[in-house]
Amino acid sequence: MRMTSVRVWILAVAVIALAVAAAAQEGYPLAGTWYGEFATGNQKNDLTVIMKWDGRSVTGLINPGPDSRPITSAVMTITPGKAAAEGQRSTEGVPPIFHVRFEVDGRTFEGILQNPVAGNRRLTGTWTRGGEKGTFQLRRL
Amino acid sequence: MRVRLMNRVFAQAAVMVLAIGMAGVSDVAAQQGRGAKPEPPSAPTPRRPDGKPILGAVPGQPVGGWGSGVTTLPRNMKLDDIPFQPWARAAYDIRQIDQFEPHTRCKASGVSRQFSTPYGTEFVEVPDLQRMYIMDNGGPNSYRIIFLDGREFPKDIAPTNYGYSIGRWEGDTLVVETRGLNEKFWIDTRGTPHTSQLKMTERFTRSDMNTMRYVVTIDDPGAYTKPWTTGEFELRWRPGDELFEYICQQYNQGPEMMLGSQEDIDNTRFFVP
Repeated sequence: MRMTSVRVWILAVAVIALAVAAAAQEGYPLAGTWYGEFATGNQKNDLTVIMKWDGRSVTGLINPGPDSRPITSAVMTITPGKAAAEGQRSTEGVPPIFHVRFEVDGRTFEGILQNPVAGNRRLTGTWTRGGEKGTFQLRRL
Repeated sequence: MRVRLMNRVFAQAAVMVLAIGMAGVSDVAAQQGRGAKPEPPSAPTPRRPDGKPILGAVPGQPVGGWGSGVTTLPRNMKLDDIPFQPWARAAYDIRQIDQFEPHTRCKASGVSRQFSTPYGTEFVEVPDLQRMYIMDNGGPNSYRIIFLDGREFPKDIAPTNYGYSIGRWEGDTLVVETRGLNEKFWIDTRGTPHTSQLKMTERFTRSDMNTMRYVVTIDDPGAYTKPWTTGEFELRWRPGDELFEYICQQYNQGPEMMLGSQEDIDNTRFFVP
C-alpha cells in the first residue's frame, strides 16, 4: 500500500511537470519546469524548480511532492542589449542579459539565463543562506 | 570540416534566399499580370446568395489562394509604441539577433503566422458545417478551424499551436477570436513574443476580388501592458493557386539552417526543440 502511494505521487509529479513543460516553450523566460542541482561544498543536490507567470509576478515551488517548498520571491531584471549596426550581420548585436533572483527555503539563488527565449534555456549562478554559499545550475525541461 | 559545413550552410542559404526571392518576383509578376501592364481593376467582392462575402475561392470558378503577406506584426508603428513588458521587448530584441524560429523547425504556427508562408493560404468555408478552414501551405501539412456556429469558448482549453477560433460577421468583416494558444510557435516571422495568456482578434475584410484586408489585435497580459492593434495588412488573391502536398519535415531542404546562428542543439534535453 505504501509503495503504491509513492508510485502515485511520482506519477502525479511527472504528469504535472510534463504538463507545465509542454505549456511553456517560448513564452515568459522563467515559466516552466527546471531541473538541475545546487552544490554544498563537494556535495551536489538535485533541484527541481517549477515557476509560473501570471503577467505580473512569478510564483512556484521547488522539489514538487511531499517535501516541496514554495518560492517566496522571484525577480527577473534585464540589462539591455544593443542591436547590430546597419550593414552588420544581425548576430553582431549584443543580446540583453536576463538576471534572475529567487528565494526559497531560506536560500537566495542569483543567476543569469543563457538562451533565455529559446527552448534550451539554462540558469546558472550562486546561492547563499546565512554564511553558506555555493553554485547552482538548472536547465528548462 | 567546419569550413566545409559553413560553406554548405551558406550555399543552402543562398538557394533558399534565391527561391524565396523568386517566389516574391513570381508574386509581383502574378499581381502585375506578368508584364509591365498595370493591373486591371479588380472584380467586386464575391458574395454568397445571403450576401456574405466569400473569403476563399468562388464556387464554379477556378480555385485560388492568398499570397503571403504578414511578416512582422508591428506595422506602420514604432517599436517603442508597442506596449511590451520589459522581458517581452528583450525577447524581441534577442530574436532579431538570433532568429531561431520554431516554424523553421517545422512547428505548426498558427494565427497571424499562417499568412507569412511563401506558398500562401487557402480559405475553405463549409456552410453546412458552419466552419471555415484556413490551410497554410508551407507548414507541417496542417490547418486551422474557425467555428462559425455561434458557440462560446470552452472553459478550459488545452493550449495548442492553432488555438480555438470562433468567428462572427460584423458587416462585411469576419472577426475571429482565438484563445488557447500555446507558446511553441511565433505569431510572426520576427518573433513578436506571446504567452499562453494570448487572446488574438483578427479581422478579415475582402474589399474586392483580389484584396483581403487584415488587422490583428493582440491581448496578452503575460507579454504586454495593454492590448494593441496592428496596422492594416493586405493579402493579395492569387487565382489558380492550389494547395499541394508540402510536408515540412520531409521537404525542408536546409535542415542545418534550423539551428539559426546556434552551432548545435542540446540533445540532452528531454524535448526536441
